[in-house]
Amino acid sequence: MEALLHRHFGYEAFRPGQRQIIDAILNGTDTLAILPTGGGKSVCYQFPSYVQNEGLTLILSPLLSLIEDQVMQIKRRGERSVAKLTSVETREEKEQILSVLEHLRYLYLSPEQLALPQIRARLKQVKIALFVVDEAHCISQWGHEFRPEYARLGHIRQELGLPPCLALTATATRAVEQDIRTQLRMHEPQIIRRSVNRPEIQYVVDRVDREEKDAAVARWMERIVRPCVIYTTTRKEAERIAGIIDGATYYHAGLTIEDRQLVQQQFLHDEMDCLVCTSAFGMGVDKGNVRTVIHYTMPATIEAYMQEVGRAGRDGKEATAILLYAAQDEQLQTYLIDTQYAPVLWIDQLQQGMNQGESYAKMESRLRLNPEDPAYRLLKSQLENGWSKERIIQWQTERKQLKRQEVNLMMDYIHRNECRRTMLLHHFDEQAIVQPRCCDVCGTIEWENPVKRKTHQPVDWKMRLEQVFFSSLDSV
Amino acid sequence: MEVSLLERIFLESIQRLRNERSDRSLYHVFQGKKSATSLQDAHFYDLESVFGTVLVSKQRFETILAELAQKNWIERQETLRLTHEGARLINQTDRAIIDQLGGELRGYAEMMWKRLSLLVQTMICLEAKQPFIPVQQETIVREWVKSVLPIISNRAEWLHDMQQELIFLLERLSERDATLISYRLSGVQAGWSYPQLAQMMKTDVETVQYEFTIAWRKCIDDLEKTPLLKQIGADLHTTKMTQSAKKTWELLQQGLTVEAVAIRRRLKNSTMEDHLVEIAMYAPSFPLDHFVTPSQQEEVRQIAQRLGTYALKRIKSEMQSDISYFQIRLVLARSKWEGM
Repeated sequence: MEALLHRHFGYEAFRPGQRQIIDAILNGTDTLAILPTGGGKSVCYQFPSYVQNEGLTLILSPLLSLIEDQVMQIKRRGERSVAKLTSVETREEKEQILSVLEHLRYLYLSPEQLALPQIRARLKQVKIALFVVDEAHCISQWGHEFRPEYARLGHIRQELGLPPCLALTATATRAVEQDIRTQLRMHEPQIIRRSVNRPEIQYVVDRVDREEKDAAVARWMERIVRPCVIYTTTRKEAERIAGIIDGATYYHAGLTIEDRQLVQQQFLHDEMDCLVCTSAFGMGVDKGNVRTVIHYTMPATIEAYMQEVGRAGRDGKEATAILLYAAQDEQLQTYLIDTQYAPVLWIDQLQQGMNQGESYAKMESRLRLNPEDPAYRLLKSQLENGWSKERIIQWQTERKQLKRQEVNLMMDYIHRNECRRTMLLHHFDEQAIVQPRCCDVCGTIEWENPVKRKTHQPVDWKMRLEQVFFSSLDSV
Repeated sequence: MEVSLLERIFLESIQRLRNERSDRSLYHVFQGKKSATSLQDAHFYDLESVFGTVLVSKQRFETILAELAQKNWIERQETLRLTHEGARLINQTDRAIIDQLGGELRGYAEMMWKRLSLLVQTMICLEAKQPFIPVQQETIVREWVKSVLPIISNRAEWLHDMQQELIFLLERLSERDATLISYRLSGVQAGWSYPQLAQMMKTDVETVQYEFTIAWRKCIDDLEKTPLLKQIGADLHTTKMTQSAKKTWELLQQGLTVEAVAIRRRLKNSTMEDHLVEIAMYAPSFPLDHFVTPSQQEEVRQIAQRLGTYALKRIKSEMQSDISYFQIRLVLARSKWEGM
């Protein structure tokens, strides 16, 4: 097994927990694995295929960027028989992929694509060795990122003859865990839960005055060790903060695709050591030596916070997480909750149009609705499933309430005078752990000496060409 | 007041529309929409060079127009027009910015950049044995790079020659333009993002993007002395005609009648007319007399010139003889070839 691991993935040994999951899969047992970010989950579902050597591994993933990233990483390690079906591929490309399914090892899919009858019909004709659901918490209405498209996965899995199933997530409370099991129709699943604790990270919360926030970031930048990621809630904020920090640049979904690749590569190779970003950054980015994660504003949930903080210290070395809070920061999050759901006006307008036999495409252009807007897409899928206005509104109210509670839990984390690690662990129903270098409440924060940074002076274009063409990484 | 590069592009474009087209028409030309109307707008109003090169979101487009109106540089009614102030602002430079955007090459410059940047990055990283994140993600670009890699036998030599070619081309540009291009390229080191370039150049992100577009367009203007670079775009076509109209044109050249082509290709009458207008706009020769009598052609040309318009409705209402919109379109389409 280790030889296979080394040949295909280049690792010498399995990481904790991986072997257990792989064994379960190879036994044909349905498995639910809860592994913290950076736990090496892709090896868990990519590896068994080399042992079984037949059948297709199907991977459902909620985000296009995640899928593209995974496919790229698989190709980078030299594996060619991988393909993806997403909204990006043309019809011809899709047909081509579907025609060679028998020869594929991995197929990545978005749930929307899996819902298409012609794709499902074709999948029924091939042997599916493993049905992988990534970010499985999206299936649960209790989860912090519920996606309606995920709700049909259990049904589809049944249609495909209930192939062995592996559900993966970084964070799941007990309620979410239960939901994943039933929704995916898992049969006596093995549950593998690794502690969400990240011993290498120490936690700090800094409560500051609103006007003081930029100064606070500047102060922290003097103390912390780079490479550093600074999370903001909005794109504008990311741009502004990047402007006030030396050597920083920003990353958000508003950048061109080319720009996103450039910035990622710079950060990965330590050519740039402070990245200010929205939550758009991070999915699938495997950078081991992030030493510090700063949150300029609070995320909406503890789950999201854990996920973002989890980008620090993946190499197992000391790292620090700092959360800045100014009074009323939570209001932005509460506001954002409301924008995630369609206004009542849309329900009325759409139902009226439907009664007159108008198509969705027509209504979208007449009412100037953006077909890509998640709030609209959600509403559309509910209407298509025959939900009444009352039901939709009630559902929305419940969801909003739930989300506000989650913001409150985050507020609790910020304000309560209790060990931060303990609070985080309790959130995931885990026992408290006492350790040195823990958090500001325990008073065990340790500061490393910041390394003196090299600064790059811009050079003229001839010099730059020379560097691009003929310098190796070491000389960067 | 300071005019940004993008604002200038808007103002110059609006000026050429002669107060005859709506904001929607302008948006479609900016996006490069391959509809008969947009192709015709680009052709008639000398906006070929912006066609498909100003890819702002609809929302951003709206914001910019609103700002221009608020600054009192344009007036927005049914149609768009410049105010005196707006016209004064852009008439200060001798050469129009929009003529340097490269839209007349129909995506050639853009594709050249995508191919070059990915090929250079791939070659350098292969040579240095370094993994990398492909700077271009599109399948067609990546497939293209894959297809040419085996042809290049000596990587070190290729890299050397390519660098020499780039130096040769960049030397002809301004320091600023050359810097933009050199910093955008990736090797083992990653290129810089537009926000990073904007910071270095002390300007805003939008401006630096269009500066880069213009710089790159200039850079590849003449590739006769740079064979490697020329080779990269050798199979790219810059024809303006849409695929479908081209097919119609080919059949007509084989001697089929318009009716026969329409039946064979199952084209609606209006589609056939759109194709013929396209052919009239882009083909080197066109049997205009076959569709419009010489005297009517003359009449249309005179009216268009006298009124200084391309608005079909106005021309039609001035005509003494009976003529269809289709016929007027043909005459106007052809007039760019024959000189008005």
